[in-house]
Amino acid sequence: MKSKPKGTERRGRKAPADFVFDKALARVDQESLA
Amino acid sequence: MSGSAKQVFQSLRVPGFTGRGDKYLGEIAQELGRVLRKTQNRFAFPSCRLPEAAWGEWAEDIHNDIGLWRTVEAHQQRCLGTPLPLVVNPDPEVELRGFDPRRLQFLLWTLWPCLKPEVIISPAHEDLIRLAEAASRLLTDRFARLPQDSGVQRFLATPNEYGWDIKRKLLWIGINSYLFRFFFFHDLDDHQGEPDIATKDDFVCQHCTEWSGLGVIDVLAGTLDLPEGDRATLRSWYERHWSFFRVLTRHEEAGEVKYITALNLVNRHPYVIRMDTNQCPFTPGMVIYGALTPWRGEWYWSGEQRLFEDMTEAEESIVRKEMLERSSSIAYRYCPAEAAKALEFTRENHAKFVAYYGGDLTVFPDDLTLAAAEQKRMQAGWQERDAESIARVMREQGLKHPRPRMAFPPEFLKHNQGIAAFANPEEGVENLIHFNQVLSALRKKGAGLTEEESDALRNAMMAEAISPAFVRRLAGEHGAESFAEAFLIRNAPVELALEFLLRRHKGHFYRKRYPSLSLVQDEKQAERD
Repeated sequence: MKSKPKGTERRGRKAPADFVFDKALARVDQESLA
Repeated sequence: MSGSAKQVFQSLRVPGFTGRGDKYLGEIAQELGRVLRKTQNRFAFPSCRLPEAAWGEWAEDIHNDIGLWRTVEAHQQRCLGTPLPLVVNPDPEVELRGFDPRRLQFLLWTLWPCLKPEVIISPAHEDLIRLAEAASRLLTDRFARLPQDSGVQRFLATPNEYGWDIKRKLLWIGINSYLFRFFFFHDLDDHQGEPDIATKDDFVCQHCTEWSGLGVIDVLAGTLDLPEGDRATLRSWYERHWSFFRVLTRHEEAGEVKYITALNLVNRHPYVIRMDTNQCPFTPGMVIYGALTPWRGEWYWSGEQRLFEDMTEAEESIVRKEMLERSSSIAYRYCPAEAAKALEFTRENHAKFVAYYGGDLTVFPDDLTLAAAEQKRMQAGWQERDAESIARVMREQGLKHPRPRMAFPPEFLKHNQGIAAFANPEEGVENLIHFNQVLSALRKKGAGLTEEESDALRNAMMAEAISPAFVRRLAGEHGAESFAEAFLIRNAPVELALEFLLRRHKGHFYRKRYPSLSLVQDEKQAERD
């Protein structure tokens, strides 16, 4: 099988994010931590 | 309902939205649990059962015509000619109503891999049918007296004005609803992932599920009462515009940043990005790495962002070059000219492959033979180019030999069970390992497959990188009977079984695709850009 193509979203996430300006996702994330 | 079961059930509901029918669902689920346990006593796998809450939620969807299940059936009717493939054969007369046991049979069979992945079960297994019939009887009886008013329905009927209105619904359906939550956790297990922001965003925006390839975006688009244009926009969210964006302007009103405008540094297009926040750190000149999705003429951030405060204009050409070379399948989404060029090269390469090997499919006995043959072919291809261009690419890519670098996945190393190479004119070359078993299985036309042969066929069908075109190429030559048999599908026409399996396991190939070929960017050109 050929390997997963380059540039899929699962790559390059090693560095931590600075912000989450996705209001709905930030809210869901907060709720799951609560 | 017991305390813990009630807690699980409550945690899956939409906070702040309650319908008059909701309070009965827990009790019905509990009662259903008792009936199903009793029915399952003599089953081959009595311990495997769909959690009670899911049956109740499915019934809530049907009873209130919420639309999740309706969207799945409509999609299957459209693509496969039947609302419930393998359970109901194509027939224009077929009409499914209410808690039809065949619907429950299909529900349980589709979710089965999340419940007991190590066991392959036929869609027509008698235990499934008995279970579906018992559940159908009870649900029909209990729901007859229930008011048609659901919290989920109320939630989905709220306005869809902003991108985050849609995203909130998308997240609830993707992570909490009976239709998708089992696949979400299954996906997490498969990728050893954490349910973090990026993983949730990937799942709800781009994952294709075993519901005949439907993603969460497709089901939400089919469920909500939206104009057709909005539906099409929502269905496009699997192509998030990941890029580096330089902030151009910032628009404030009443102490809030309403929106910013930003330039995509890869395709040089401006985007209007809705913010509506009084805590916006983005100011003109800053560069943000993130993903955007469109909604009603504006763009919205999807998932997380990273900030590059001091990226110079001189570095912009490097960013563009790197995105096009290292993340080409993302960059092609918003760089149509480059995508068209990559497709042109892919088709040229396809023609060269066919001319070199004498066909679009060739088989190697092992990894070393494959590597040697491909190396020779690539080198021959490069010799047609001028010396200066070869020298430049070798210098830029740090190559020791005049041929592209070849990398194979770890499972190819020391593999000696046959490797097939298929040249897909739209995507590039696809390699399939264990091809000896695949071939012997296909030649048996579904009769007397060994466990190894069935495994090889299932792996080919479930492999993300093997396209429907490759599978159809094999089935066209040898028939599809063995593919159907490997999944214990014996009660449906073979052609339907094959199309269904391709939709179910290769849904991502039915979306917009780009070649798996990156264009090497000319450094001088990049500097000029």
